[in-house]
Amino acid sequence: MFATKVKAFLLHLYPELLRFPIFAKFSSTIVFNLTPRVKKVMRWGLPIATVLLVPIIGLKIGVFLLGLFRPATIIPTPIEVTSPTPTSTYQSTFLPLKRSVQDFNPALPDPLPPVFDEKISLEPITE
Amino acid sequence: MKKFFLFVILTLPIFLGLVQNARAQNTHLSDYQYQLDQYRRYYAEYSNFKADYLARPTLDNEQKAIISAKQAINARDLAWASFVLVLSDTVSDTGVSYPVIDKAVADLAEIAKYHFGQAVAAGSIVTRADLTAFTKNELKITAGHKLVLTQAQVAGKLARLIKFQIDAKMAYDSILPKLETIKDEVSVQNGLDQIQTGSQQINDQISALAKKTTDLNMENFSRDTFYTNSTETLTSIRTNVGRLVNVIIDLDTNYVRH
Repeated sequence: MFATKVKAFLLHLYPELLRFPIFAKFSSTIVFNLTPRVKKVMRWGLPIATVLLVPIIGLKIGVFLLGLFRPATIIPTPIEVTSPTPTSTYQSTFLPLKRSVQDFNPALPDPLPPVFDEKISLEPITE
Repeated sequence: MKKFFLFVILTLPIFLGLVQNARAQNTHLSDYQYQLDQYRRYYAEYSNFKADYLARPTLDNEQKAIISAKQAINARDLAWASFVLVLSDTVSDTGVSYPVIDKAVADLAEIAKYHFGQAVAAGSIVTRADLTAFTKNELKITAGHKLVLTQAQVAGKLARLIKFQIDAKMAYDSILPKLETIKDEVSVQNGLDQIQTGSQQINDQISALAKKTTDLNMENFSRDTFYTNSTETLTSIRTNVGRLVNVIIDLDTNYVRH
């Protein structure tokens, strides 16, 4: 029934379809009450909409089919990376003590004693 | 009144700067350097006047030689006193109390006092005989000072090393509670054992050198040999203290949670 209605509607829009035998028998059975303006819009709109819809639907179908046949993703085995040994950035508070020990001078005498004349006299002195 | 305040405000910084400068220069080391320069100047004069007197032994030349000798002796004793105070500073500035160190500080104070007194006493020299007696007396007394000065030199070094030991002990005490949870780990236990044995070894070395220094006497005293031997011991102690501090720093850096 629905198909009959569609065929009749198309025949109403496009009388040229009477040339085809399949549409000949609907010519007088169903009458559509369309204004000439609506009829004109539909007459031109229907092919335009068809032209637009067909590629869109075709693309959608194509994308769907592509998804079905997409090759499996190849994940390479992870390469072993040598990670650097974590080094501590902490500076000990006892480093100044270490430097003081390093700077310690063990040499004797320190301070160096002065050299004086201990025999200041106007005559020779024997100790 | 306003002018007066303005004058005070403007001159105060200059006055304070001069006071600060005078204070900064008033150290035993600068006194010593000054007196040493004075001695060199007066000693050169004394050498010239003495040569003149020996060449021409007139009364005038004798008086000139005696006066220059008095000035040289005065500068020499003041320089000695300042040097002894410089040495005393090196012994006492660590604030460490230890028998050999305390004795050295007390002895050095006595020696400095003696030289200050001699600088004043040199003023009483009038004749050639006075000068000879003064020098003979001083030679006799200062002979004993040489031993004390030698002991003080070692005491100064020991004071520094004992201070290191005290600082290292404080560092050890501060990290020890933080190692409580991991002290059974082999490396930590190893480090703590090294600290124990190392510090004991250093203490023994310090005690031995202190005893050797205290036991020095005039009869079998060779200053050069004593200095050489003591320097070797001090070097060894420094190496051990350095090792000890390294272990403490290693534990602090790698095992203490900061």
